[in-house]
Amino acid sequence: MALSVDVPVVSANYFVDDFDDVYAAEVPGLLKLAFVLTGSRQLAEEVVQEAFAKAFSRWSTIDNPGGYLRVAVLNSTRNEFRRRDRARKAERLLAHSLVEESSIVHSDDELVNAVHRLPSKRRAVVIARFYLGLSERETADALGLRPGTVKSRLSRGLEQLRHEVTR
Amino acid sequence: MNDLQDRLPVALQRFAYDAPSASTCADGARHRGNQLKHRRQVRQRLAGAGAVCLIAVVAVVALGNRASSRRDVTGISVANSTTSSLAVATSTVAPTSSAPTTFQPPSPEATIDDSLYPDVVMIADPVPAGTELAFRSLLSECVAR
Repeated sequence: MALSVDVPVVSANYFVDDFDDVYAAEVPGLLKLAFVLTGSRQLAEEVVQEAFAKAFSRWSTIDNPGGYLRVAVLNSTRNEFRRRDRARKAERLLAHSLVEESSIVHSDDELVNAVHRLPSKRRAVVIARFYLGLSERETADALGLRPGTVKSRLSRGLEQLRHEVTR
Repeated sequence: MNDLQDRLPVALQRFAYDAPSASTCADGARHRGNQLKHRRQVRQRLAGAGAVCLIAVVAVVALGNRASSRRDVTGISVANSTTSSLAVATSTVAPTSSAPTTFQPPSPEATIDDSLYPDVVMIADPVPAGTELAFRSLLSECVAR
């Protein structure tokens, strides 16, 4: 007598399909986050692509792709700004800028422009807290910081914003 | 301050509307991800090879030190106890010949160069008459004291 056993069929493209689904679902939100962080469309796209590339290279080990990608964007942006600062310093020699200044979007809202003038570390904390709506604890976990560091950066960032806006 | 904290989320959300729409597809990220994975694997292999090289170098240095410390010690061994000949091995690592060097005692007729040992009083053989007696009395005097 032949036994019929229902064996779940796993698609050979399961891994790829999964990545494509996550990509489609997460890209818009991540682009907004990167754009709010950088103020540059060009840089935002680069940062998001890099975050997905990093995620793909270790896809099988990631439990929460959305959270991983958000943290990757936050950290990549900080690294990108550090690189851009170095490139600006070398700009006189190289006559080359990593990011076209024309790609930076200046907001009508002076508060947003003031956020973009914050140092990258403070800016990441302010945006994680007030754009992503993370708690101080969640911000600390996302950025790999101690809660005390988040609190002090947030406090100094808000102080600087208040000073610049009311000036 | 609270007014600022109320204004920030609204201002940032409004600014985010101008974000670019996704112009790239997942293929680019996948391609770049494969590159990153390949680079990481190469780095890991290089690190592994580096660790093996380091261990090999440490082992060679340690063995070299051990060999040189053994070379510094002169081993003396009795080659043949029945014939009571002393064999002195000058090196345990690279002996100069296959057979150990055999110690040859000086012949009784051998003369000693006095200029080499100016402070040593040589006692002639045979001992002059009276010398042995004087030595014995000196020894017994010392024992008595």
